Amino acid sequence: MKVGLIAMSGVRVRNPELAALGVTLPQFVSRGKVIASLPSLGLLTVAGLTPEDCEIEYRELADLPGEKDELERFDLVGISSFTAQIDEAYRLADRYRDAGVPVVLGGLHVSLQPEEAAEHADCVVLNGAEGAWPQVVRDFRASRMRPRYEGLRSGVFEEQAYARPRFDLLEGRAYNRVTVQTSRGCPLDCEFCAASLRITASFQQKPVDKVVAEIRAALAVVERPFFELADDNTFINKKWGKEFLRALRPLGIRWFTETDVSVADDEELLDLLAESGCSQVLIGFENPDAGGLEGLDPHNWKQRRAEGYLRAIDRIQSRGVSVNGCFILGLDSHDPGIFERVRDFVARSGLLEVQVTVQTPFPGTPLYERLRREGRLLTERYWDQCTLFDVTYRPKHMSVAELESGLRWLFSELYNAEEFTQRKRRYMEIVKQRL
Amino acid sequence: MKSKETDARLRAVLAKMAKQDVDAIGVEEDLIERLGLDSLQGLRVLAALEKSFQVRFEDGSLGELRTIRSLLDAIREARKEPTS
Repeated sequence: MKVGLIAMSGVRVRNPELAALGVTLPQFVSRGKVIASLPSLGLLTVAGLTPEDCEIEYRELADLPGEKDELERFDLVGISSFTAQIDEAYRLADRYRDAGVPVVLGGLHVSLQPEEAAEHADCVVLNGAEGAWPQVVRDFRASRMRPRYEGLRSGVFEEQAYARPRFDLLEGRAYNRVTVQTSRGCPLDCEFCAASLRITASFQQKPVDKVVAEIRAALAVVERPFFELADDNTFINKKWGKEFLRALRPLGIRWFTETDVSVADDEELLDLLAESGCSQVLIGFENPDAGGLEGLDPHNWKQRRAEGYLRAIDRIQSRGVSVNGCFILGLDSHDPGIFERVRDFVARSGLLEVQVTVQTPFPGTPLYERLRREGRLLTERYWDQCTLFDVTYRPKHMSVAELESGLRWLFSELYNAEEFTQRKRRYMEIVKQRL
Repeated sequence: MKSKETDARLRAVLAKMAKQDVDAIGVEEDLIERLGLDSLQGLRVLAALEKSFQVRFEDGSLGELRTIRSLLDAIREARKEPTS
């Protein structure tokens, strides 16, 4: 049996003026390009869960033949996609099904919009693949595959459910970045978040030995890769974090992750972070001050931490680990003054990298439900605009046009060549102090 | 400082920062690609070179310092030494 696993990659900004800005601003598109060029950890995990006697082919969208060419033959096809490319994924699924190849759709969007996805698939898999995919394959072989399977929402890293992702499928491909996951979910539960917390019952942490074994497996097939942890919030558990960082130290790798600002609370953790080869942590500050953060998460955790943002950035970066500070524009607290406030905060903070995105009501999130209830979504269905840069709803204290033009202005303020050079110089001076 | 000494010291810093043997790297080879450095690692190497040679590269030229030749030239320029 030959299974084709196809990853949809390459999110594109739809707003033409913003897309054009990407050509001239050096840092604007860099993170997006990185994300688009990462292999699909979800599908490599699906491959790991597939019985050994199945032949597996991993494909990226770019590997596939053109629309008029004949499709590669598989007995079963699995497709995973972000929301922004889901329509492209549906078109591909339809093509395979028209050619007589059964299709399974999975991933975050499919988990949150299963009825929609079911119109383009023989089977949809909800949540993670753990606890579902092995049964899908067994049932397919017995010609009794069901239209819907539900993967586990807890215990995904326990022995009976866990499978190591098949990094060997990347051998010979030109990846210089590899993703590894250490956890799923996040207890902060921010209203806008469309990440793995939507498909987990609670925060799930992978044992350190399993993560290290995965890193070693990736190192065996990809030469000197840069590792990206595909986590929503890696250092929730500081004790686990220290154990993990001590285990990373001897591996000599360089890596990146996403976490929250509390990582800066613990000096020992910060020292270990630097010693373990951590290059950058991405932190969602979302707003430059506490005033604009009320109600963003159910416990106002981010609002309570906002006062310490500048100190936290300084403590992390003083170790030579850069902070990629993320801000969301268009929160309900934002008026047209927010763009200058973000620019001023970034200038004061010494942040070495900045990521500014527009608030995006991804389907299935509490934000989406609220804005829909309030009648503020611009259209009923806008999945291809879920790029994090396209405006899809009516902001509360400014117009759509003000949000779009403010965003463009802020991009040109933050991502121009002069700012980029200044950030580089700032980083070098920090490094020199630590050498 | 003689150019051979500069070259040797530059390679020693590179080897230490990149944790790789750099003896065989040609002076025109792209170091970022050859050593598989990410952008921040590249800046760490430049910072280490500035510290080792007690120089400061021009901010506007940081992105162009990707070969041993360009680094040697930049070090000479920063020290106002004549090019050999």
